[in-house]
Amino acid sequence: MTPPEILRTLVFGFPVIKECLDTAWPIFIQSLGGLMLSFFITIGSLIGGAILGMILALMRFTPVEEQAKRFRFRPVVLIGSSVEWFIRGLPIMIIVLLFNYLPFALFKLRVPGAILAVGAFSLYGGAYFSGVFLGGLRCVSSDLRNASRVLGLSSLQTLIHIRIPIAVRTMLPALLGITVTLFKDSSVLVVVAVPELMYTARQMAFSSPSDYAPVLGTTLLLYWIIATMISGLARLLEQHWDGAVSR
Amino acid sequence: MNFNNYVFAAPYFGWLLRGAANTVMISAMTATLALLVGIPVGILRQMAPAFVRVVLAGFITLFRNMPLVPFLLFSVFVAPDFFLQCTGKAIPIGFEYWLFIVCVALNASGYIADIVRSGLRSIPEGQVQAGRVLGLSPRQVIFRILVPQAVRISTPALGTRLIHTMKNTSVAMVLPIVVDSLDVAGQGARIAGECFAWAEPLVFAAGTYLVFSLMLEALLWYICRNPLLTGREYDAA
Repeated sequence: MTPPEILRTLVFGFPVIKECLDTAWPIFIQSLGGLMLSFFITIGSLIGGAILGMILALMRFTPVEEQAKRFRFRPVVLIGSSVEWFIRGLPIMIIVLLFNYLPFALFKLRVPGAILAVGAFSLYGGAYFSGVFLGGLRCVSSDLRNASRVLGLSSLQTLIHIRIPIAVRTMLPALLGITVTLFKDSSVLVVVAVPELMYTARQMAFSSPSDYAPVLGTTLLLYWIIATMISGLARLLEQHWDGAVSR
Repeated sequence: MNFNNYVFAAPYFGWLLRGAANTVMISAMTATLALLVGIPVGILRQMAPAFVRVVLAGFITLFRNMPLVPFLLFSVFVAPDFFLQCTGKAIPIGFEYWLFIVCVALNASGYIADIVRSGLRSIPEGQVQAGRVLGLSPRQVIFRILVPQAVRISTPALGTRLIHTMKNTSVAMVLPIVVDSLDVAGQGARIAGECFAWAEPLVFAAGTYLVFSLMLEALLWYICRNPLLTGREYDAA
């Protein structure tokens, strides 16, 4: 294959066979491939992970005023923490495989691989998001809130002008870091035949062994460049906001 | 779900146990190698002359942003050709196993170097100057002032990263590794290849990883409350 063909296939995936699509599920997701599917899974799992992470963080959150009090048994906090511990204790490879094989083994349910992949990565991202959100919820001290109320801001204004900007500045670099992790780890989907970038590259390389080096090298470079760009953005934001948070 | 047939049956349970033992072995080797590479890189990245620092910054960026699976597939399938061209001999059988350990360790060493470096950076410059004023030699400043505090600060993060590395060894399944040296997830895939039962061995493998990470977390917790490591930084935790 010529270099432009290799690159085009890596970015957009193999042509889709219409007969293989499962019409019970959205066609759009099943017709994506290559790097585009990697992006879709990253973005989808960012959204799903943010929702799950917020739920877990709110379950685990205890207001600062209450932390000084003596220990009290809180079942909701316990449930949130153990769910997070459970997900963090599993490798992403195992989460992806379990998501792919358990629905059929338990409920005889057939779901397209791309949708299961988004689910698996949402779960994985949610566990890491919850820690970041918890930090964001805690980082605005009650003194700062009281001060803004004393200066005459309403509680809504305090939320919009004080709490959200500070929380976002604290959380955004960490969120971009998790985005990089999700994008990089989406390459483990190669084991469950979801046609994202790594799977496309492996099929291409194995179908024409003379292309091993160019195909796998281009894939590695694509992953590396995109991951470096996102983490560079995180570093820029961190430098831009350096010192502006705690004041 | 039929655990009696696919997990606790005659050959399969032995495979899984051997896989669990292999996971321990691979993780230990990977962690050792990653620490051996990562800690010097992190220290030199902070303290060496400028051109060394630039090279090491490149090293860290290269391996931190490298996803593991493409990196492994690239090295395992391109290395034999490269080896043949360089030495004129075919690569020895079983090299994938060692290449796998080296790649995972390099990947982790990028993170470890950054953790060590941030531990060193968190110590105020004033302490170094104060040490010099009080008459300590540069060597004494490093070993009496910088290293104890940096170790104290970076131990929890290092432990977390090593637990993560242990979990990362589950990607061995994408490589053509000799079946006897596969880890627990790989042995699960081997059982699935024999009898089309994915769910049961996977649940067993997931349980293994949970037990391992629980044990390592307990160990890390125990290490971190050692009097040598508990400074004022950990009074709150």
